[in-house]
Amino acid sequence: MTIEFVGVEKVYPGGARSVRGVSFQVREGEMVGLLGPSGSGKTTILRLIAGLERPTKGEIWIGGKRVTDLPPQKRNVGLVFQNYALFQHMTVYDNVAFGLKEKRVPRDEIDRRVRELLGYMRLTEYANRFPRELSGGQQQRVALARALAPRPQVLLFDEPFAAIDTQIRRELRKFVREVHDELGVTSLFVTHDQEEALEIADRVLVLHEGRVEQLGTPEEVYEQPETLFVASFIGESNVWRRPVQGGAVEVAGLRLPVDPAIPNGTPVAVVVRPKDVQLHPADREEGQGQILRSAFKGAYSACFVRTRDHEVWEVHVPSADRHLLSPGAWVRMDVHKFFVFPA
Amino acid sequence: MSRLSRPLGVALVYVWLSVFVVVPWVAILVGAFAGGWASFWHSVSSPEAAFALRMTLEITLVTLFINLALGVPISFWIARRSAPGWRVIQWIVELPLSVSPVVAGLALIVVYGPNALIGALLAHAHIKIAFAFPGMVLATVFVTLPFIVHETVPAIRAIGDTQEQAAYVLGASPWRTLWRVWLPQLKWSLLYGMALTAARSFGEFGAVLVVSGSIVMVTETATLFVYQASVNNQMQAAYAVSAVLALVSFALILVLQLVKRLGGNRLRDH
Ligand SMILES: Nc1ncnc2c1ncn2[C@@H]1O[C@H](COP(=O)(O)OP(=O)(O)OP(=O)(O)O)[C@@H](O)[C@H]1O
Ligand SMILES: [Mg+2]
Repeated sequence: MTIEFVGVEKVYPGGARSVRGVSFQVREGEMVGLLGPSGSGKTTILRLIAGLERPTKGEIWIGGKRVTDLPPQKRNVGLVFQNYALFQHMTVYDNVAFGLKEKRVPRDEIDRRVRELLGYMRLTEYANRFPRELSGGQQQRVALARALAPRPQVLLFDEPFAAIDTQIRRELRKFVREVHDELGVTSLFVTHDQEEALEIADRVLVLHEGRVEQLGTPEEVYEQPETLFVASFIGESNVWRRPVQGGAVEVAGLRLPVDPAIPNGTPVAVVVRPKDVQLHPADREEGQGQILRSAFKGAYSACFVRTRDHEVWEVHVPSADRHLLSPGAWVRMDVHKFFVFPA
Repeated sequence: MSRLSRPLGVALVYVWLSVFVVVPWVAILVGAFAGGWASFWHSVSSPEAAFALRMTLEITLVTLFINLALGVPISFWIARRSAPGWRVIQWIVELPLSVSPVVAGLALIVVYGPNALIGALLAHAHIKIAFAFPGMVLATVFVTLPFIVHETVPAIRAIGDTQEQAAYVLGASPWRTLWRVWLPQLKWSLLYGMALTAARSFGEFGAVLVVSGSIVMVTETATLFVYQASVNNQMQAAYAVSAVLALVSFALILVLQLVKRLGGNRLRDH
């Protein structure tokens, strides 16, 4: 099922404008991650798709059908809530069977489907437990099974892994991706964790203050950010604000060329990713900065370099070369790649 | 000081309880059964007493039904603070807790009495409210409405609304959601509120007195009967019906405790 937003606005009663003129298209079978700071409208967008909120303006299409005014009952969407929202008075089995009963599926077919899903989610032995008797990860899987039971064609997840520790989180993440691929559904998931979004999403929708900043593959939003916000929000980055001087911007003693059409004195923001800087040992005279400290991150180490004008850069160097850069050492910097945005 | 005051306080409470609670209860039971079971039964089954007791029971049942039908939506209304006017509704529901039942009854007479406009109009349609069963039910409903609402509103707030939304997304209509998601989880709060409602309607006196006019065998409830009998110095009859009322209250207190015990664990889990 494709999902399309056309100029969607949502103003909550009380005046909070949480979604402002949002348009985007999600393709059939795609898995899209929604990324954005707190309050940027991620949950609101999911609720608009599920029909739990009505847009103030604009249209929503699911599978080529206009659903703007359709109630949630008629949208055939599966939603996994952030806090799971399991029915507290029902067993795991009854929670999963809920949607099927509402669809008046025959009893023996319900039973078959529920047992199949519980097996799939490794929950069979918990069928008769109540939600309060389960761990966070188990509740999460019940919520997922409950959403999947009526065979929705669109799956929505609101921070599905928020309350789960890293190890299980990684497994569940892979699991959700497998479920998505196996069922051939279209999925949207909200997350605070960029790594998560970049890892399992086909495309990432970056939101900021209720607006779409960019919709693109993980590579695109990382390597070709379209706005300053995306460049600084996705991945680590060094952001420097400078006026343009003679077709270039000066940072850390380097002159980085910019579009010559930009007039002198125009303030711009230069974004440099830590991995796009190379450090060379240098002596005190020719060095552009001094190593402050470095942090081991596995394959690479994050080095913090203080320049002569007292700005601190984050630079990633292969951990193998780490010994060259002890605190206090002077270094030269080469910038391979940078982005320039209007500031 | 505190070593002494503690047992002293406990002793005081017990003395107070026995003087003001236990002794009167025992006195009523003794009075009721002084002439033996036969004379108790004779008093209770006299046409006037039996009529009064039945009327009280009928009013209580109808009141319970109306309070459930009104109380549940009103509770949602107040708990959600969404619909316009929820403050007004809350204020109206709270009113009986501070207004004297006699005043409430009088207010009903002013509106529905035969000399008032609405009352006259209804009388034209052969509907009698004041000095009749409907008025007595209205008065009792007014007095007892706070109980169910008070128990249910906090429960609704504690459960929140995400389960309801999950049900909608899974295809359940609002009615089905009420039936399958809300009511099972509000069950204990509703039962508790209903037990309180029943206890109060059994014992209601002031509002019903004013509205009913207390006509023997027509609009006389059990409490009104007790009052009339004691005023007329028919103490045996007064004691007997009082004993029935007391025993029912006692049974309701037991039910309340039971509901609290059974439902308490569930309620706390939310
Ligand atoms: N029911 C509501 N009533 C009024 N304002 C709301 C409501 N729900 C959300 N908002 C506002 O809308 C904006 C977007 O909220 P939303 O929940 O969509 O953000 P989010 O991106 O999901 O944030 P988070 O990452 O913190 O969950 C926020 O400013 C929020 O305060
Ligand atoms: Mg959110």
